[in-house]
Amino acid sequence: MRRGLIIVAALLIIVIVGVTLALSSTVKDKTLTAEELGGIDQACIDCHEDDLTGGSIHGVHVEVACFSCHDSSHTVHASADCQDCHAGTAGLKTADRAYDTLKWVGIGGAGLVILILALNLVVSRRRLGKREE
Amino acid sequence: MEKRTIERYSKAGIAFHWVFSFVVLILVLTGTSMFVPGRGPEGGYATGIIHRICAALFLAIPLLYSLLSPGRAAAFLKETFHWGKDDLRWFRKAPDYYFGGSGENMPPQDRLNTGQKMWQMVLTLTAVLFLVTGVIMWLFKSAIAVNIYQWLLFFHGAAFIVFLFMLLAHIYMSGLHPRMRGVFYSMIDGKIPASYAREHHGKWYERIKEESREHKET
Repeated sequence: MRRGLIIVAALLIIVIVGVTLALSSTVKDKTLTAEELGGIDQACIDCHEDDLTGGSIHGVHVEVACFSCHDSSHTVHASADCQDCHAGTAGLKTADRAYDTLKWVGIGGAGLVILILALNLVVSRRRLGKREE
Repeated sequence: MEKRTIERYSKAGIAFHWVFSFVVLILVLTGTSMFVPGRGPEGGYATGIIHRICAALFLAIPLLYSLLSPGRAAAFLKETFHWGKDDLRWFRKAPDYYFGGSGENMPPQDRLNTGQKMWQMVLTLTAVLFLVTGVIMWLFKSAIAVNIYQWLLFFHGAAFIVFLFMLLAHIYMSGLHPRMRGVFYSMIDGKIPASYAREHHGKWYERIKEESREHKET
């Protein structure tokens, strides 16, 4: 019995991690030019800064990043360049991709759980009501 | 509904539940808000501070409770991780039962039913994962590689997702499900209707009835 539970828990973890990693690898890479790689932090800021209006450059959607949230003098950010953490500049960063995808797995999963619970409420009320009649 | 009630939770247990729930709620809200892109630096900073304060309480409250009531803490773990054949049968029968089906074939349950055990198990295991990954990210951020930090963040988030799914089910089952009417108030006055105990916790109900009979005889 205990072994069965451990197997179920392990499968659940494997499914979540596996789905996340599989989905994360589908996100497209964006390769910067040599010039951009030279001044990579500034290149990132140029396109992704907070006051970017419209959210697109030459018709391509650009995610707006919160640079002021990344206090460059604070702990892990002090010695890091953008590409140390973020994917798309210097090759695939699986952890970054995975975490990004994980958010959508979480949001989608939570939506699904709420939907199942709502369905449960409607169905169980109806069936129990009929039984009481 | 039957008026006869049975005491299920102690006052200390109820106080622990609500204080801990409040801390968890703040952790969930501040943790979820960190997912939102573009939040302001002040808001982000304050969110981080509140999240850390509540994380410290998340560790401190169960520790304090365990020190004050070691017997109850040990019983919590024993109940949570003690599984038997009736739990397996519960898994088979529960979907139909909780979708309004007949309760005739539901296996008798102890003080905790299998669903409650599962919730407590997820809570305990994810709490350990939250604490291990959270403490390293909080206190040893400068000493670890960026890649390690990101994986810690990933597993912190993965644990949160599993926890959130179970938390939603826990809130729904204890407050909204038509078969669980009255059970929410047991976390206020500590008592549940005897009919509810008989239906949902048959083994436990029979045991306390027996104990009560023996007590009267002596």
